[in-house]
Amino acid sequence: MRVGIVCPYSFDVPGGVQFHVRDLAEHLSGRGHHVRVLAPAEDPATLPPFADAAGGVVAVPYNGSVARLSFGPVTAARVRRWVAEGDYDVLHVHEPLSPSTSLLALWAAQRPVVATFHTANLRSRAMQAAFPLLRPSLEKIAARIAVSEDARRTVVEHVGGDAVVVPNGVFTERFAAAPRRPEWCGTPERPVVAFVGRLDEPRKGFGVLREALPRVRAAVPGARFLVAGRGDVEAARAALPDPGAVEFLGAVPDEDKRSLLASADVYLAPHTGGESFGIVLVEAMAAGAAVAASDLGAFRRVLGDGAHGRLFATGDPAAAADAVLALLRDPVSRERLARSGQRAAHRYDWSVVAAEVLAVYETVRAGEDAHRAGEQRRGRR
Amino acid sequence: MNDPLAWALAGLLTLCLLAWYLSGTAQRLDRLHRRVETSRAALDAELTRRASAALELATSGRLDPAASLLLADAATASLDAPRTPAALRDATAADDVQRWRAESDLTRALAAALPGTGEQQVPGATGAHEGGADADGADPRVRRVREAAHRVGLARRFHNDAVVQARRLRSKRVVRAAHLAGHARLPETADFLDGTADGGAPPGS
Repeated sequence: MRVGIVCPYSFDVPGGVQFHVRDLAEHLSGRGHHVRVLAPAEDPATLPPFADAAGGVVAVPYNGSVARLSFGPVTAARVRRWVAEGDYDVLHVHEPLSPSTSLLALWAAQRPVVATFHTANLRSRAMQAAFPLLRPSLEKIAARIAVSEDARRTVVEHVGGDAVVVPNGVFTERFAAAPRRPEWCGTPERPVVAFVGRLDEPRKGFGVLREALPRVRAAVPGARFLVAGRGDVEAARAALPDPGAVEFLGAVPDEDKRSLLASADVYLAPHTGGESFGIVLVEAMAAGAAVAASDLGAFRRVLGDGAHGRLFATGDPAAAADAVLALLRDPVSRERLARSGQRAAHRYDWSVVAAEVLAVYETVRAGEDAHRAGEQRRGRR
Repeated sequence: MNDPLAWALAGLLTLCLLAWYLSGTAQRLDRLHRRVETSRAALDAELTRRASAALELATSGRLDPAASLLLADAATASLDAPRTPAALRDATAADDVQRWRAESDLTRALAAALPGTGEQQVPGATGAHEGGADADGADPRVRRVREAAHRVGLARRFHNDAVVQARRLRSKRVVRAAHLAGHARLPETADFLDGTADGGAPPGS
């Protein structure tokens, strides 16, 4: 099948949507499909081999954080040409409401479009103002996918209509097989708690971790916290009540992240919001870490209401500390939880998720083919 | 603005804008009607696939005789139910009602014969990797039925989505006043049980 995937955000900045697009393209290519990705970029050399550059990138504050988007007449013309020349069986647009390549591709589309909605928090005021203008484009979407129940609810409430839920995917085997690093592995006296997320993004919950720290260290003085993520490390270190407890790894490459999650005893996800799915939980589960996470709706669903990880009250450092301590103090139940998490993570493996995406593509194609055959039959009569 | 020429120009401009708006709306409506037709064709194809797969399973001797008979009966009824005509405007409400009743019956028969057929059980999520968690997952006939049932759920949702949007646009005053819909039949949602969590509930309600 010829599939054209449109990503609205630039690949130079890591992000959930970009990773999803990259992994989906990689997996589908591996299965023998012809896949091209269109993403904002000035220079095609910075893109993965399966991607094309849509044009200039502008950093714009959108939906609560700064996004690197691409728009304007030059980009619009390029997107239009890409859509027309690609001759795709299915055009798969991600985040169709972001003011970037996706919306432009939707505008240019003449063939059936599949759209994936990732976010669970649309700016409703901007949406309401622009909605009448967007509606004709949105009507071109033949099949809507939401990555989580929360994202689906956003579609139902803000866009109208419905969507099928196909979650984000993870290459679970890469996480399960990641080599453990001795320096990141915990011992009974010095257990390791891992955190992955940007330090300067409050919704990732580093602040909750910082405040939970003294309580954890009071009970388990040897506990080590390994923190991976971009941000101002010096400022973060200076604000710590107990600097000896935390080791900052900075921004780590993918292999290191996998090794970190595989080595850690506990993965702490103290996010306070803004998460529609919680891919990092699935990654930690797949790597075999026991998970303690805030009880956001998305996390609750991934963790099977606590069956595959411990949940604590969102934004409550004391509750976070208690959840971490409960896991650190009981290695047997921690191990059991980690195993059950690893099994549960398989539901999000790309082999399963991509098959569901393909089922959506094929359902859309089946209608096109059957309809065309019907028209030809009628034409002959 | 006493100049008759200015008045004529203003009138012409208004007419042009109106024509542009109407043709744009007509194009949207045409696209939505096409989506209704293609998604209905997809639903039709997936339902036929599900019924054939169910019939194959029923006659394979894999199920107990009672379940086999029940499933064969429901699958044949679905295959015998009125098909969607090549042109959707030839479809009748009575045919649709009969069809959806047969499909709901097949969904119930499948649920009885294969507990857990529906969207909760994603095809591929169980089976080989879970190692015996679901022994049925290994049988290709069962897998085909489950996959087809999953696709029916997708196709029904996509179709109903198209129908709701088409009906929304057609209910606008401008569309009715200008007769933009022509003689196209007002599309109806496909209301039958498909085994998904909200299966059978009309969308947008």
